Amino acid sequence: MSDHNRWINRYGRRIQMGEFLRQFGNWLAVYCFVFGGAVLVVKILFPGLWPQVLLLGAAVIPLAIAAWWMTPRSGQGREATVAWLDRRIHAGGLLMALNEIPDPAWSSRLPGSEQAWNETLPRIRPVRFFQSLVLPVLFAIGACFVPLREARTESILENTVGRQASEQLQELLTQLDEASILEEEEKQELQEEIEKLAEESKKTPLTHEKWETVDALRQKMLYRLDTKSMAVDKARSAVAGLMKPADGGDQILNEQRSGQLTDDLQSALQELAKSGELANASPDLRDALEKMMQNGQLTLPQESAARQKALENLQQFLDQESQKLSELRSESQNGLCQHCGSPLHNGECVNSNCPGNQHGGQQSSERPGKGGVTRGRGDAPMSWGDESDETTAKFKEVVLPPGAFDQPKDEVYGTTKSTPEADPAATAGRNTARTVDAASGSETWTRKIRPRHRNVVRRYFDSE
Amino acid sequence: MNNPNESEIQSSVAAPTEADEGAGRLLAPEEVEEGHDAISQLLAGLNSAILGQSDLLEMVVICLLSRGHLLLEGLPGLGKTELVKSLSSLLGLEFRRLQFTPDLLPSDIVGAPILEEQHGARRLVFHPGPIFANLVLADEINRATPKTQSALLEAMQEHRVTVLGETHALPGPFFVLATQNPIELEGTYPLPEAQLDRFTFKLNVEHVSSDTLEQIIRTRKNGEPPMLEQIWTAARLERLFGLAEQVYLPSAVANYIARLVNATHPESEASPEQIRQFVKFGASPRAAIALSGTSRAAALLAGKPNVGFDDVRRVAYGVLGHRLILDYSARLEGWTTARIIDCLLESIPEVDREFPGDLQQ
Repeated sequence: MSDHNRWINRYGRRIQMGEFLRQFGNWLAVYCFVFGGAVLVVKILFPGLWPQVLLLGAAVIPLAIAAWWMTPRSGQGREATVAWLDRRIHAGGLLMALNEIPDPAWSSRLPGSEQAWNETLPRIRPVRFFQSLVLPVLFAIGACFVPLREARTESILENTVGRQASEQLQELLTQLDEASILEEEEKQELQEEIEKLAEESKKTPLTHEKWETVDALRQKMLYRLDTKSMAVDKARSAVAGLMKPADGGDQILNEQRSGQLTDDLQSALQELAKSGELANASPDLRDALEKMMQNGQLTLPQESAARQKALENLQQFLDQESQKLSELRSESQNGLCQHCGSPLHNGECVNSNCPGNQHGGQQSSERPGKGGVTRGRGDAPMSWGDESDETTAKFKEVVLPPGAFDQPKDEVYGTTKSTPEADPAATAGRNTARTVDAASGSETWTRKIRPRHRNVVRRYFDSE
Repeated sequence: MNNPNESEIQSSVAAPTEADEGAGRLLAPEEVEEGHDAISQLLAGLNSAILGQSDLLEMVVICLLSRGHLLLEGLPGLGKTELVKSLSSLLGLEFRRLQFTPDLLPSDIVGAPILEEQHGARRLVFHPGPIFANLVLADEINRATPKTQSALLEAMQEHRVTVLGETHALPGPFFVLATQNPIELEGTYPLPEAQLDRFTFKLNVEHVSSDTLEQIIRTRKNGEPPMLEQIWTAARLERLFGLAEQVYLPSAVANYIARLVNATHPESEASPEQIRQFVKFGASPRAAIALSGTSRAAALLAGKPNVGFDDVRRVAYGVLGHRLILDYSARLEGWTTARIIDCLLESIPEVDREFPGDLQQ
């Protein structure tokens, strides 16, 4: 091998190394993006494969081998290599000519010293190699530092919402049963319907009909709770009234009032006895009540001291029951007011403006709107999000005119000693405005149609 | 054409044979030195006649050695005609001068058959025109009509003329050295592209420096050049032609020439943006042939047995300049062919392969 051929080969090997760095750099950049993407996918979608995905990093070695294999051999690009070297040594094309037609006479005109040839060899500065890899490698490293999504160890049960709704109903039923609010027959009936609902919820997701059934069952139990609370409150009120005559006053009125209160107390106690709630009373009180309740008539002791003591014991018991029912009510609503969503304290809403604390709607009628589940309360202050602020808002905040919130049935017309004409069931709220066959999911609405809507409804049905 | 050194040269260096050319050998250093010395001798003679135009003279000699025709363009009084006359004197070739005018006819150039009576019979006898010479100076060629200009087409390409169906070979060597004036264009006929393509070189004769002017007026009485003696013979010229053709063209350089010419076409993928925008038609294959031939001559002039990239770059302006047909937009934006060729040489790499970026030369 002639001297210049040896240097051509050395130059070619440097060129080959440069080609390898270029090839490998390009492939490695693509590989880093693929690797980073795979790590991200695994961390986000398949966290269980996280340690294994790192094995992909070992693919760098075959990648390097493939890049070296695919790099043009020194012989493949020899013509270009010689041309570069020719220019490098300022041979004016002589090296290219000698590479194709060897001629000893002209070979001697080429540089003779090793140093001169050595200086022509290109230095390897893998700047481009690293520059092309900066971004892909950062991406791959960054992907490795992305937090691993926690793998779910337990399987997801189907129809979770239906199951939870059934469980909540069952829990409420248990609480009511423990509080001796439900009669046995009624309890059995509710139990069967809840079990049937739970069974159906396991198989199919909740439909709007089943949601209505859940809601109806819940309202039915809450209605029983309300009825019991009203009976206890009625008894408490009567006992409080019966304890007052000790202060003196109008005797005739006291007798009439006493009789009315005695009747109220009697009916309330009968209501409580029917559901077995009196079983929670102390043995002494039970004995006293048995003595007083003979032949279905409540007879209070004639002696003032005994009478006062019996009423005090009864009031204490009723207070406890009232407290218990309030707590139960609060628990059934997750400790939140059903009217305004404010926390409950002893069953009472802490919000002084809560509609549930208002009487007759005189005050509430002065507030604008009544809001809705999707729009928020009409009288709530406007909130400004990221999209705009108060100064740049297109629509300015205005106070709405008073809305029609009042429900005449909720108004208190007055207080009489006689039994209210309205049935508590009818005044318990809109939930009782319909009858529900929970087992079948069907229901009947009995809501009254307002006069201004009647013509519309009539035309609709006439067109059928 | 008598030359005292002719026998000496022939005895010292054997003329290249066809067998040598087929073997693809490099010229021997002695042969290259011989050619270089002879060319230097010719250049020295030309430089003594034409002052301050050494680059132009080298390009003229390169064109001559590649057996090419030359078109000189320049203002009057720059020595174009004198250059051609000096060349003929130094080469000892038969020289004819043709002053092209609008009423010049093709027969005035190539000759015409004349009815003569010979041996009692009348017959048409062809009387050769002034083109039957070794060195033809076509002065102000663009003043003749296209019909007359086209009379040179066959002569320049095939070294022969055909009159009335009879073909007459021109003496060898045959060169056409034409001149044209870039101003006073009224009443001129621009050379057609086919005619231009037959000129190997088109060179612009530039103004000389003040030092040269001073030297001219100081040494030349009435501007007359010194008497020149013949330094080459026809045989020596043929010998130099052979040497120039034997200069080796490496495949990488040939590839560079091919890519250069190909890139002059605006529809080529490799052409730079300026060519796509301003060039209407690119160079023909004849340009590539001319590039290789003149590059060989340039290499021999440089004393090399092979062509290098620099030799191609050197002759590219003369070879490609008149072969690129520019678009009207180029004139509007002030682009010249020289500027286009600058862009071409800058954008086309000598090696058709990208040097690895991670290597530092």
